[in-house]
Amino acid sequence: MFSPEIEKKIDNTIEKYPHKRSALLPLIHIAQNEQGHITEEAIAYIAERLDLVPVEVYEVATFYSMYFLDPIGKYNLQVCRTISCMLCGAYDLIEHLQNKLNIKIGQVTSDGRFRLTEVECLGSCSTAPAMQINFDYHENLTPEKVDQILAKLP
Amino acid sequence: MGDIVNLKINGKDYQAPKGKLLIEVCLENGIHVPNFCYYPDLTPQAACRMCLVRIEKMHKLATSCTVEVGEGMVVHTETEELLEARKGMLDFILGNHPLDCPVCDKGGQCELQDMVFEHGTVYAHYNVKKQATPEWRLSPFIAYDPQRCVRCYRCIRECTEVMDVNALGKIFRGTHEVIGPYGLGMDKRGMDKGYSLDCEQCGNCVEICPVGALLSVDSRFRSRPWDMKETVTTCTHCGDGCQINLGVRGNDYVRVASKDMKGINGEFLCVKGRYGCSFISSQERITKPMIRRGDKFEEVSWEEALRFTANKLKEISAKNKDSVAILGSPRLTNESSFTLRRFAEKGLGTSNFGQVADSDWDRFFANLTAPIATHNQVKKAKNILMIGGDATENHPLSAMVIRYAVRKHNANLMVVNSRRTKIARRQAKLFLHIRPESEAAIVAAIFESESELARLADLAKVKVEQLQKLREKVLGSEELTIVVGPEVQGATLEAVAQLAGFLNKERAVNYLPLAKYNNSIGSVDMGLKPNGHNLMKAFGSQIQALYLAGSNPVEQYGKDWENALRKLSFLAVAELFMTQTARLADVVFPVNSFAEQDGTFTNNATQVQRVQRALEGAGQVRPDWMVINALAREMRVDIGAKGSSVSIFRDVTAELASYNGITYERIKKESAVQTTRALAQTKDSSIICKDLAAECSKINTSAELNKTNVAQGEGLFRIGTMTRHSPVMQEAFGESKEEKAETVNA
Ligand code: SF4
Ligand code: SF4
Ligand code: SF4
Ligand code: FES
Ligand code: FES
Repeated sequence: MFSPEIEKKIDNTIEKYPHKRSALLPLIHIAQNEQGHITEEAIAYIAERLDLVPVEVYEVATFYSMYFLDPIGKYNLQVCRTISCMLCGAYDLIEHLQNKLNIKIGQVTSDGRFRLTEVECLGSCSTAPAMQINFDYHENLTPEKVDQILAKLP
Repeated sequence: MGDIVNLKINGKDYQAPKGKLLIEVCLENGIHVPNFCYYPDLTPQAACRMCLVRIEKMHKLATSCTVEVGEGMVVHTETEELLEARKGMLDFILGNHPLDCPVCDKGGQCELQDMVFEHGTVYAHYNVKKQATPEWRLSPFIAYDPQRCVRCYRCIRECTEVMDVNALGKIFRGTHEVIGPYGLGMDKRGMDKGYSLDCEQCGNCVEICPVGALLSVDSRFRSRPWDMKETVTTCTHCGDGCQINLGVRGNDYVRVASKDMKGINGEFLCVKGRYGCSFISSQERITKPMIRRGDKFEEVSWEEALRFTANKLKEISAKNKDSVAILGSPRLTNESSFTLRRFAEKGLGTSNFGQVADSDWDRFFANLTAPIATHNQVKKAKNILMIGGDATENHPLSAMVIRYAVRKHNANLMVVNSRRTKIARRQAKLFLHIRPESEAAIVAAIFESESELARLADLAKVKVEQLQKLREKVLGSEELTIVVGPEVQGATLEAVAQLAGFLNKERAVNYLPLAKYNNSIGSVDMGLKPNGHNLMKAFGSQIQALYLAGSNPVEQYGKDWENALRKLSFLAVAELFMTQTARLADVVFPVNSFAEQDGTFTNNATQVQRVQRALEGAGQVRPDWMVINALAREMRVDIGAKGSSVSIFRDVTAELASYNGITYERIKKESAVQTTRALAQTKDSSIICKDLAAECSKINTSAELNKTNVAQGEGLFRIGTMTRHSPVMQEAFGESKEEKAETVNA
C-alpha cells in the first residue's frame, strides 16, 4: 500500500527487532507520516506485516497522544501548557489561537489547514512559552509572534 | 519444577515449589489475598494492585500475583499498612464507578461489592464529577458498560490466551480507557457499527469479568442472582458435555453460567452452551399429545394417544415383529435410550432398532486398544495426533484443552484434516492438509512399511516428507493422544482404534473421540446402534411402523428421509418441537427437554455426568422413558419398566460392564465418572492393512484440496432443531437473515 521506498523502510525497521511485534510503534509512525494520520488500511496493513490482529494495532494507536486516528490538518499547532510555559503566558497563546482560528483545543479548522492542541512540556522551558508546529519548534512566543509565524507558513 | 522452597507467611512456615506465584501459594494455603486481575491460568497482569503484600527486605510493597516464591521469603499479608494500601487502590477503582448496583446484573455476585464489603468504609477521596459513559452493545450476545469496568483485563487475556480469538483490546487510555473490539469508539469513521464484536461469542469474558462491566444480553435485567434457582446439569449440545449452571426463575429459563464450577470444563463454555439453552422455555414447545386427523393434528389426552399408538403397533407387529422399528437419537439420556432398547427387544421383539446418526462409534469401541483420555488428561498431553474433526467449531471444549496443551507446554500437535481448520492453522506443529475423504491413506502410512509412503502421500495429496515426518513422530513418541473426528468412519476408524495396540503396549497412548452430540457415545453404549440410515431403506417394505424419539432426520438429511417416512403406515414421534419430521407423524408425544428431567449423558471422553431437573416442563410433557413405559403398559408387554431415572440407571450399571460401579451418588461426588472399557485384541497388522487398502481404493484421486479456511462460526453458529428456538441465537444467526442455512440436529 506504500511506495517501494517506504516499503523498504518498513522492511528495514522490522528487521531491526528480534520480535516482529516490537516494530509496532515505528511502523505506526511511518504510516502516519506518510498519510497524515492512521488510516484503517494502515492498521490492517501493519497488523498483517507484524502477525498481529487489527485490535492490537488499534490498542496502541489509541493509547499514545501523538498518533492520530483522524485527519489533523496540514499544520498541527502543539502549544506547551506545562508549568514554565503556563507561567510565561501559554494560556494567553491558547486563548489567542482559539479566537484567531475559531476552533477549540483538539479541533481542526474547516479548511483543514490548522489543528490546535495543547501538549505537556516540550523540554524547552528556558525559552518558554514554546510551541511545536509539526516537527518544528518556536520559542519565546507572544500572540504577535504567533501571528507572524502562521502568516509565513506556506 | 522439583525444587521446594521454605517461606514464612504471617509468621507460619510453608513449603512451595520454587517459582510458583506467591498469590497462588497463599490462596492454596487458605490465606486470603484480595485480587481482581489475577486469574488462574492467565498470564500475570499486575494491573489492580489489590494483592499487595509486604515482603521483608523488599523496599516497596509487592504485587503477590507477579512475585515468584523463593527460599527464605518472609511475607506479611494482613497488616494495617496493607489494609490502607488496598483501600487506597479501591479508592482509585471506585473513583469513576457508577455504584448502580441496584440495576446491575452482577449485584450480589460481584467481586467489587465483596471487596468493598471486606475493606469497610472506603475513602472516596476523588471528589470529581464522574464520567458517565453510555453502554455498548458489542454483539447480539454481549454488552459492555465501561463505567463499571475495573480494568483488570481478565477478559482480554481470556479471549487471547484461552480462546485464541483475540477479539478484545484496551482502547484509549487513562480514565478514557475502555475494553472493546477493533473500531470501538471510532463512530466518526463509521467503524463502530454496533454489532462489532467479531468473535466466537462464547461469553467466557462475561463469565470471568469480576464486575458487571461485560454482560450477557439475553439474561439482562431478567433476575437478581438470589431470585433464581440454579441447577448444575450437563449441556445438551455437543459431545464434550460441559457442566452448566442453569438459572431458572419461576418456571422460566434465565441464564446459563459457569462461574467457579468444578466440572470437566471449569468455567469454560461455548456459545451454544451459554446462549443456546433458552429453547427450553420457548413458546413453541409442544405440550400436549397429538393425533393426526387428515392433514391436521388434534390435541388429545395421553391415554388416547397411548392407546392409539399401542393398538397400531400391536396390529402391525402381529404379522411380523420386525415390521416395527424403534429409532432413538444421540440426544436422549442414557436412561431413555436404555428404555427404548428394552422396549424394542423385550416389548416388541423386533431386531430393527437403533438410532439416527452418521457415525461408527460402535465400531470404534469394538476395536479400541487404549483407554479414553479425559479433557483434563488432554491438557497435559505431550504429543497429540488429530485425525479429522474440527474441534474449534464442533467440540469447543476439546479445542480449548488442545490449545491449552500447546500454549502451556508446547505440546507437539499434529493435524491431519481435509479442511484448513483453525487449530490446523494456528496451533499445529505439523499440518497434513489432505484430499477430501483420504484419511485412510494417512492412517495406512503408519501401519504400512516405509516403501509405501510415496504412493500413500500421493493418494492423500500431501508431500511425502510431511507424511514421513508424521509417521516418524507417531512411531517414535512415548506418549501419544489420538483425537479422532466424526468424519473418520468405517475401517479407517477401526484402524485408528487399533493404532495404540500396533504401537505396542509399553507406550502411554490414549484416545479422544470427537462424537458429535451430547449423548452420541452413551446412546451407543445403551445398545442403540447408529444404523438409522440402513433401516430407513426398508421403510414401507419390511418396516411398516416406526417409533422415532428425539430426531429430526427430515431436516438433517433431507428428501430421502422424508420420502421414506411417508411410505410407513404408522409413524410415532416423540419431540420437543413440531419439527419437519414430527409433521409427518400419525401421533406426536410431547417430551421433556434435558432441563426438565433427571438422568445421565455420557460424553466423548466416556464420562458419565448428571442431567438434573432444573424446572417443570410446561403442559403435559414427560421424559422419553416414561412415554415408553406407558406405551409398554398399554400394550401389556413386560419390559421390566422402572419408575424413576435412578432405578433405570441401576439396571444400566447392572447390565453393562463398562458402567459397573457408577451411581448417581458417585457422580454427584465426582461430577464426572469415566466408564471403564474392556480393550480389544490387537489385530494382525496385515489384516488392518488389507482393510485400509480397500478404503484407500475408494479415495477419489481427482478430488482437489479444499483450500478455503474454515470460517469462524461454520459449526458454532449453525442453527438447529433446538438452537433455532433460542431467541438470541435466532436473532444472531437465524435463517431469517440468510437464505435458509444448512441446519443440523444441534
Ligand atoms: S465472547 Fe469469547 S471470543 Fe468473544 S470476546 Fe468474549 S472471550 Fe473473546
Ligand atoms: S470488562 Fe470486566 S474483565 Fe474486562 S477489564 Fe473490565 S472489569 Fe475486567
Ligand atoms: S463445548 Fe459442547 S458441551 Fe461445552 S458448552 Fe459448548 S456445546 Fe456445550
Ligand atoms: S513547560 Fe513548556 S517547554 Fe517545558
Ligand atoms: S491481583 Fe495482583 S495486581 Fe491485580
